[in-house]
Amino acid sequence: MMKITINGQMFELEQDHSVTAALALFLTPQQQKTSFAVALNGEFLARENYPVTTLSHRDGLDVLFPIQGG
Amino acid sequence: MSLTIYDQPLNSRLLIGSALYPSPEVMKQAIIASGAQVVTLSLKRQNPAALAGETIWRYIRECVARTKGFLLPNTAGCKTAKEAVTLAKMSREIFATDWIKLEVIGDDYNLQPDPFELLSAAETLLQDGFKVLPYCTDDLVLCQRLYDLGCQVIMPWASPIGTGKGLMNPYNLETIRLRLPDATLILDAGIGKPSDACLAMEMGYDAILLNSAVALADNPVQMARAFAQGIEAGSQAYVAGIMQPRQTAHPSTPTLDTPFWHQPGGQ
Repeated sequence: MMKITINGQMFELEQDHSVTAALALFLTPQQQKTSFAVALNGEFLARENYPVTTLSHRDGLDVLFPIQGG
Repeated sequence: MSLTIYDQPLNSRLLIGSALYPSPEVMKQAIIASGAQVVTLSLKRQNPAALAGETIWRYIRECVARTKGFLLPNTAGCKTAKEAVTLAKMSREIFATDWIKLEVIGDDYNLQPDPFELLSAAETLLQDGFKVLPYCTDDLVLCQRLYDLGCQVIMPWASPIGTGKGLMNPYNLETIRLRLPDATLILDAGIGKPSDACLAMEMGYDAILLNSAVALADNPVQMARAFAQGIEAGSQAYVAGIMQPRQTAHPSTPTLDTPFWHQPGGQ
């Protein structure tokens, strides 16, 4: 098992999980259809790379959503 | 002439924020009443179960569709160039725009931009194809450097974000206008009253970006209209050419054919 964080919340995953698999822990299927973007360890991760990006122990994902802003 | 942002002509010289309104519906009404075609928004962590962001996002999309407008995502909350670049790239993917309101904050007390990180982020983003609209202080040299990098739009502050203090340093703002005649200058942050916006437009600024002054008004929809009118008045005045102040009084009414009783010897 490995530990990762998503938006600061810790999750335990089997080795070699993809970002897509990790997001399934954090978002319901309905929520996965909403607008969001992802950074892996502080670097932007393009949507098309979610399935082919394998996570490592202690990786951190940030999942950001649109909000109002000035 | 209309406002142009990176070759995109716009009908309104007001750009408006989507935050701090009493409700999403009031936000929508105020944005539409303002006539603004550019609406700012942001990205943040949220509890996705709430889906609150999706609701706001839907309202903003409706506003932009109604005005045939454009989204301007910001990098609010970033304190380093690296953070801002990452957030800009995430915004580009979600919002499908290469416009970015670049904010890199250097001080938590007055939310003053960090000029060094701002320049670094602007350079990286411009090289990556972004159309950067940097939020900066009213420092001429900083504005010049941003323009030299390739930022066609420069957005100096009027005063710190959300203070409503108006134009803290008109001299600096006028100097930036004079020294960067070809830059698109948008006054961003600190505007409190429509007269503040009007004053900047009378100086020759190209547009105004504001949020709190409308959102925190007792009646945001009415205030949005007031700002639209103030900005239009200032813009028209600048184009029309404002008279030079004079030291001595000059009668407005012609003195020719003044009635006889004002003539020497008259009654």
